[in-house]
Amino acid sequence: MGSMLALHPRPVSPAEATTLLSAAPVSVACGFPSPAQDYVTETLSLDERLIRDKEATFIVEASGSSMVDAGISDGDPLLVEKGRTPEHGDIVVAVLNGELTIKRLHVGRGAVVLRSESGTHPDIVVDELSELTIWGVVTWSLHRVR
Amino acid sequence: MTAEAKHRLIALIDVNSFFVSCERVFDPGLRDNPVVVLSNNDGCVVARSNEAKAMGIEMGQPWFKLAPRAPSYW
Repeated sequence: MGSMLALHPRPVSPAEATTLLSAAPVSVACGFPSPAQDYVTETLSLDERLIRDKEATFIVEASGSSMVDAGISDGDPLLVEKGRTPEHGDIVVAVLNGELTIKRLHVGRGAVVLRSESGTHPDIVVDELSELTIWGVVTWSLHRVR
Repeated sequence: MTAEAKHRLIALIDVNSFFVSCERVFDPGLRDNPVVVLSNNDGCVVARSNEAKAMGIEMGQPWFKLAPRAPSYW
């Protein structure tokens, strides 16, 4: 299988942070409604939770299946942060052969390797991180379950 | 001049072939290729990559004149 690609990079919406969820201090139980429901004080903004630097964050669509073992499935939207120094173990978007590809970054002594999790694609090995064009670091994979 | 005006810093940011450079950020496949960016409506060249400049493409040229020379990319 080929490398997993990062398609259609788009900036995240510039809209104001939307409040989407209430972090109610109750668990979903059957039957008895909790009196604590009236005391919900904390709301959760997904923008705040998922995005650290809005101007540097983009959404791409994962295409392929070579990073399934990393928790990224074909079609998943990914949040990618540009301008963040990539570290060993990060899943990164790298420019390879004119395409944005998704790889795991391994930084070792004397060698830097880009690896696809499935192991079916050859490793890209360079001497230094600066030899690679790292487009961004993947921070979140949004996998739909229903 | 006020003390504030004396210490004011002004940054001027110039980017090589700006519109082309922007497109290349999101489509690395455009690097090393001759690329031009066209204006809205008129479709005239408003930015040229170095490769396009080397081909003799001039600023402001309308696309219909360049189209015969452009190989199919998309």
